[in-house]
Amino acid sequence: MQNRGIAMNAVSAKHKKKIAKNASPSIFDIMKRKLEDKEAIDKYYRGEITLEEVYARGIKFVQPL
Amino acid sequence: MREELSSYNPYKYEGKIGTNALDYTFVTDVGIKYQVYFIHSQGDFPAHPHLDNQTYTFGFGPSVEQSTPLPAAPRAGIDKRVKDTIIDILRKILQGDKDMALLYICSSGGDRQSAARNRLFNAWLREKDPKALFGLQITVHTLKVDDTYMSILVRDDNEYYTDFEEAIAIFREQIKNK
Repeated sequence: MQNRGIAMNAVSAKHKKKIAKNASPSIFDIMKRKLEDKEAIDKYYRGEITLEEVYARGIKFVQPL
Repeated sequence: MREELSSYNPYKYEGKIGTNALDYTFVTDVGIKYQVYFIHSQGDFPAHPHLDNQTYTFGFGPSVEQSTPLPAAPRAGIDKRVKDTIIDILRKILQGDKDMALLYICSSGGDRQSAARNRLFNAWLREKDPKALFGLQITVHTLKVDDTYMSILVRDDNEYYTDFEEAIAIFREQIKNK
């Protein structure tokens, strides 16, 4: 019974980790997405894609000054 | 710090509103046109979603017009005024809104010019105390994953400074446990 409890805890911990992993993007996901966004903007400035394609990625330009 | 600032000699730049894209542009002495752009952060801080409203991601580089041959093949790294101009724009934004942070991501991979530009910008941030570079009490947090760097510039008096520190600590933990 005790072993089962330990096993359940282990499963639970693994499950929780999986949920946590799926729940929010990690720094790796974020950096990957941001690099892809940056590459899309670079391509736009090089004339390889249109502004509409940049916007389609959900990128919103802002002029802070 | 005052001496550092007095040696600045940025190019004249202007905000450009064209085809809904907003950016700042300047032209160097040798005719290279640069663009500096800012975009809204979205989903960059999953555990602190309110920080997305307090962060702009920025980038810069020569414009498409630069695909034409350049006179004397100048190297952007030598032109100190490019650095001065970009730092000047960033400083004004941080001066204008103390609670806004700036995020920069770069990879040493990719095409050679982009990689060189990214190395250059990271070198700017590392070469001197950012407080001297920007003339502001500022901290630059840099995260590294493989050949990719993500830097977050936060003023020390940013109202959300602690939240940024917490968010960055979570990222560091994820990188450590990779």
